[in-house]
Amino acid sequence: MFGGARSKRFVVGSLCAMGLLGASCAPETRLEGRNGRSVEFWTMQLRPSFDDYIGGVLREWERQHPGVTVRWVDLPASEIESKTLTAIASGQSPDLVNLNPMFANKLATAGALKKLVIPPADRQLYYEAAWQANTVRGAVVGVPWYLSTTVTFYNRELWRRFDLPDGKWPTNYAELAQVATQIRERSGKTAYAFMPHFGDRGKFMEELALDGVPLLGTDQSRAGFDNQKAQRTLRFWSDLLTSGTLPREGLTQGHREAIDRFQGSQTVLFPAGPQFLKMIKQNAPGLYANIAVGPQIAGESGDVGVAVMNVVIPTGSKEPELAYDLARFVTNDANQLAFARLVPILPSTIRAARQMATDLANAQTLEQQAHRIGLEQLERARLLVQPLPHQSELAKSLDDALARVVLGIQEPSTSLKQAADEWQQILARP
Amino acid sequence: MAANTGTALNGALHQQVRTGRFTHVLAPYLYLLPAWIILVLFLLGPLGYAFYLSLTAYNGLTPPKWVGLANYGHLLHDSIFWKSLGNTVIFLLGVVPTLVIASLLLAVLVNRTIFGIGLFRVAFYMPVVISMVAAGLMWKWIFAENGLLNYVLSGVFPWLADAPIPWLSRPETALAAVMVVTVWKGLGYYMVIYLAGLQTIPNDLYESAALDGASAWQQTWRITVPMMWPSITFVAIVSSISALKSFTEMYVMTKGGPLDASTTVVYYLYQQSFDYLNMGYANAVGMVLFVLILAFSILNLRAFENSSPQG
Repeated sequence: MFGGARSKRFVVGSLCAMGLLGASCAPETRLEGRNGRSVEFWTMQLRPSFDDYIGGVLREWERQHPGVTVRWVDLPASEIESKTLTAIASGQSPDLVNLNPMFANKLATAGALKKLVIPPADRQLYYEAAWQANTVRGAVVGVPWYLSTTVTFYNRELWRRFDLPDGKWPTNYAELAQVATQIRERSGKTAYAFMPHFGDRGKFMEELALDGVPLLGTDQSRAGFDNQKAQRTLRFWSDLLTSGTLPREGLTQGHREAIDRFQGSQTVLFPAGPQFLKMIKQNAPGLYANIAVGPQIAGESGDVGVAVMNVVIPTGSKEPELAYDLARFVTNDANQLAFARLVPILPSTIRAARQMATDLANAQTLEQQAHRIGLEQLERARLLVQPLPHQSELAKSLDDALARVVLGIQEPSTSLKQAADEWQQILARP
Repeated sequence: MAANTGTALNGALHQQVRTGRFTHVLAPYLYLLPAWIILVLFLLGPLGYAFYLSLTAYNGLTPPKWVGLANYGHLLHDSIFWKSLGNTVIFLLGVVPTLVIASLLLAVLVNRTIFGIGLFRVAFYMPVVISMVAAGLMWKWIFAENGLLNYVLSGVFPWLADAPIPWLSRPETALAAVMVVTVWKGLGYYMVIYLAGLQTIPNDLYESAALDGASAWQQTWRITVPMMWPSITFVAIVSSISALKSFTEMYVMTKGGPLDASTTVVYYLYQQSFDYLNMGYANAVGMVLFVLILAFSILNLRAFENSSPQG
């Protein structure tokens, strides 16, 4: 049965199979490296919309760096964090990655990002808030790319239907609560003013900051929100949710749900970055024709928050100098201005942002108006939540504090006290 | 010379016999080798490595540091872990019996040769091919405060129009809502398995039972169920494993909330690993889940073997 010739054939076959298996497990060869140096650049959900723009920027950079090629990889926003993590952990790190500061903070805390030394002359080209979002434990770990401030979109048809005066948008949270109550009553409880999204980690932390509540105490080792001001904020949101003025599933749902509800004309207003108009225009063109745009509705502090997208260099990068050079090139004035002319994002360099504001002085279209409002707000915007150690856990602790009150389990004072105790334990960890 | 030739021939013969014996002994192992390599590379190796990581403090980015059984010790006092374990058990108890029974009933229902039955089979199977993310989003709209379910219920209970139930943001209902989606999505798959089993039961058995005066209920209980027992066992085990590993539903519909009310063990594992970068601890959670699934599968198998109506 196991004749010699057949066995030999079998052994040879097995070895071939093992060889194939081994070959398939070998690390991917970066072909670019054979001819010269290469830089791998990962971006977040920019293809195919910006193929021409990003491709053009990268080709220009390659032209300025003969012998160096850029391998551009674009990943969906929902996957970029896990892919970055697994790539770094497996030693296949990209050289430059486009990330949000919250995840960059996690990577930096774990020592996976290069600390950058930014010359003062370079630093002052960008908005200071953008650098703050990239500063973890005193070290700069990323270069700011594009920014966003929140504007408010209004469904004018619904706004008028619920007897609200056209163009008289709420300017602060007190007015917003009145509007929300009126909408709920006049709609016969079929519509809501808007969809809160406390299911997004850190959202309640932002609301506290918008009301001017300090998150950390003066010594930075304990919570700063165990006070009446924070209790007021907590009470404000829990009252809106428990009374049914705003949908209670706002406790567990994210921003995606808020977009869907607005696009489905189930909510009257939608706070978001100007760039979301593009999505609404595509998904709900009928609604788009009826949208008006206003500034961010302010909390007690009157502050405007800024959201930051950055580019970071993992410590596993084999070409950190080239990666930094590429990061500065992608985020320079000219390239950011060109990008902002394509899509209503806000440049992180001051000169490009001001040039863009000049370009939009006579804003005509809805997108231009939203873009202009976003840019005007940028001049006074601040980073609402500084990168914190163990930020996800701290944020969850505050999310739970809100949930306990909304669900009637605790009073605001007790719930915030519990969260403050949890913060102290979390902050004490290395 | 002749003696020498004979010795040489004998030697060659012995050599051949030895080689033959060698290949005879070695060949089966060589046949098994490819499967073993795959098992070691993709199952046993990762399992061993996961166990090693569970004994370390590891963030996925810097080298792991040995902490011994500290992660397991921490698990004992981790209230969210115990809550997630409790949720997983509730999920299991709610989902598995429903799937085992309802999909069998559904299979019996569509196991007929009437016009258009194929359409029903396809309709019942359709949820299986829909991605869980899409299904989760769809059901989120149904369970919304101003969604379809509350609208329908308010027709029966008018007071619900003023106080709709926030199905996904109440701890008492969030997990149950997720369970409904899991059952809806799984029914068609298990129905097809049962359907295949049902079609192997010879019709003669029912005919002779009918001649003997057996009622429909007696035929179901005395013929269908015993003949279907292997399928029932299979469905129970597979759906249990699937329920213990459930994640996407919670991720899409409730994000494990509110207050961890719909956090299952796998969701907690995900949270620890990707949200908090506690990979070592997450691996300890994973090892507990592994032991749980293993134990549950063995128990399930034994229980079904012992209780088989065929004896």
